[in-house]
Amino acid sequence: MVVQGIRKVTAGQNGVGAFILQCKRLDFHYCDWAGSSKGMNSFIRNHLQKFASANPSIEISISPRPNRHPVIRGHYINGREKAICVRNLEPNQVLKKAELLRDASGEKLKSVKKPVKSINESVRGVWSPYHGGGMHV
Amino acid sequence: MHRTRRVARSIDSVGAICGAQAPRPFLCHVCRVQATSFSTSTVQSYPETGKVPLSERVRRRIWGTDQPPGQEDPYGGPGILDQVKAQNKAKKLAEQKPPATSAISATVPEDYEPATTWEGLERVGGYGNWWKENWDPRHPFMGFLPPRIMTDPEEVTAALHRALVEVFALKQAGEPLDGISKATPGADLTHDVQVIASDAGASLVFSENATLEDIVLSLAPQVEEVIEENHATESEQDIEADRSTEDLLHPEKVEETVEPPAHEPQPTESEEDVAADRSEEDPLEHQAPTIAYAELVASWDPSWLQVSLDDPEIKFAVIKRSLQLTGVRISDTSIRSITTAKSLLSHLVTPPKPRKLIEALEQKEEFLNLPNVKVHAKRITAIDKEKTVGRWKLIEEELENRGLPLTGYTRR
Repeated sequence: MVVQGIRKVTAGQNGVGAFILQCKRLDFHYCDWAGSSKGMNSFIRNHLQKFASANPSIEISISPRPNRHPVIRGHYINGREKAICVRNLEPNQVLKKAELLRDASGEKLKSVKKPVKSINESVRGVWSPYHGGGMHV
Repeated sequence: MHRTRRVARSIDSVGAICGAQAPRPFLCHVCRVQATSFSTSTVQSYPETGKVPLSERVRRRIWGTDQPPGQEDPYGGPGILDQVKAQNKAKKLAEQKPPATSAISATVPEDYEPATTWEGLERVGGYGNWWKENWDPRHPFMGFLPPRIMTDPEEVTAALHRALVEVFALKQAGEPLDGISKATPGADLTHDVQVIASDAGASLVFSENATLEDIVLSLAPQVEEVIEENHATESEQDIEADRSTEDLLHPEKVEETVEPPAHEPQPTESEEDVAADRSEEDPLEHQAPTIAYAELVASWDPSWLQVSLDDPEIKFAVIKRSLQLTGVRISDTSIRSITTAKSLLSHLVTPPKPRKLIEALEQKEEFLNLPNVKVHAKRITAIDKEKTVGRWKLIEEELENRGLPLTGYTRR
């Protein structure tokens, strides 16, 4: 059963609504032989248990990926995936990447130019040419 | 034309010049000077040309005669190095020359004919029968380590206890500790022996079944007996002969060879009994696999683990014997840190470092029991992904219907 967001009957807004972590699954791929997986293997061995128990809502799967660089792959509720190659990273750096994937929304990265983002409709409403006073030329 | 003198310019002299220069190749003045200066040995040319060199003329003037004493040409001829080399070469040639060449040629029979094929000729060189004599099934290779490496912790503990008892028994008997591993490990006599740590290392408390003499005798090498066993044949006469030699040698070998008390060779008449005796004589088959090592270890006084191994001689002997009994190798660095029997045991029992990450994770049960964690031992393939969502059965069916392979490509 795939985790899904609660369907909105009414728009839960202004903090009235449950927070749902967008990341639903993290795959940790490592290699037993290659040196670039050294930090990743150490992370899985020593740090992943704590990380997994701190994030019980994320499914964690660990599998080898022989003769390839180590990768963390995040799966999100919106159906997208995000993969980060963690070759030659230290265990702490790998932990940072795992936290980054955990906190990501799964959306494509886009530049945020405006300081405020809202899904609310404007108080003034949508402008229409047929309404309003009109202009006498 | 100004290079030739006016006198020699007449047409008559041309032929004379050409005739004089024709026999020799032309050499410029520089080349001629260089050639003479670079030559290592001067050429005695004055007897031919009649010219006497300046050094010789001075020499003759000094002595006042045309035949001065000394070397014929003291400033020329081969150098001293060349002379020494020539002498050495002559010596070598004289040595190499076989003195009895004429004798050999004299002994060759008259009807001698050189062979044209290799058949019938004596074979010289090679390994001969060395491999057959040393590596055939009757002479199997017996390594120092046992063929099976002990993994059971209780069994390893018992082996270490045995090594300790045997080393301290040798020490108590005044025997050299070098001989600890000379004998092939036979039956374990040390089950009932208690080791108690003391100031002087350890003291042993023997039982009725195993005395100090028994243990020390069991450590003596049994080289001769093994040879006899290997050469034993099946015929009655040979068996009887073997028995008689054993009986004859027995009183002499009391101090050298050790036989388990339960297996005194009793002379029997039938072949079967003889065969049975032989099979029992194999020391490796004495070890009964049904020993309850846990109970055995529990029956010992726990203070035996505190026995000090500070004495390097004892430590070396104990480690050597335990290596021979268990087959577990210990690194040199950890040998340095071993001070007691307990620390040695911890190195013997410690499981080897996991080579794969999955092996390391399997030891962490707490991690594996987390509900949101799944560990795969193998790579997750595309088929695995399809299986998790339940689509693989359908795909498989469709592939089979169309005659396509489930994995890979079709062969064409």
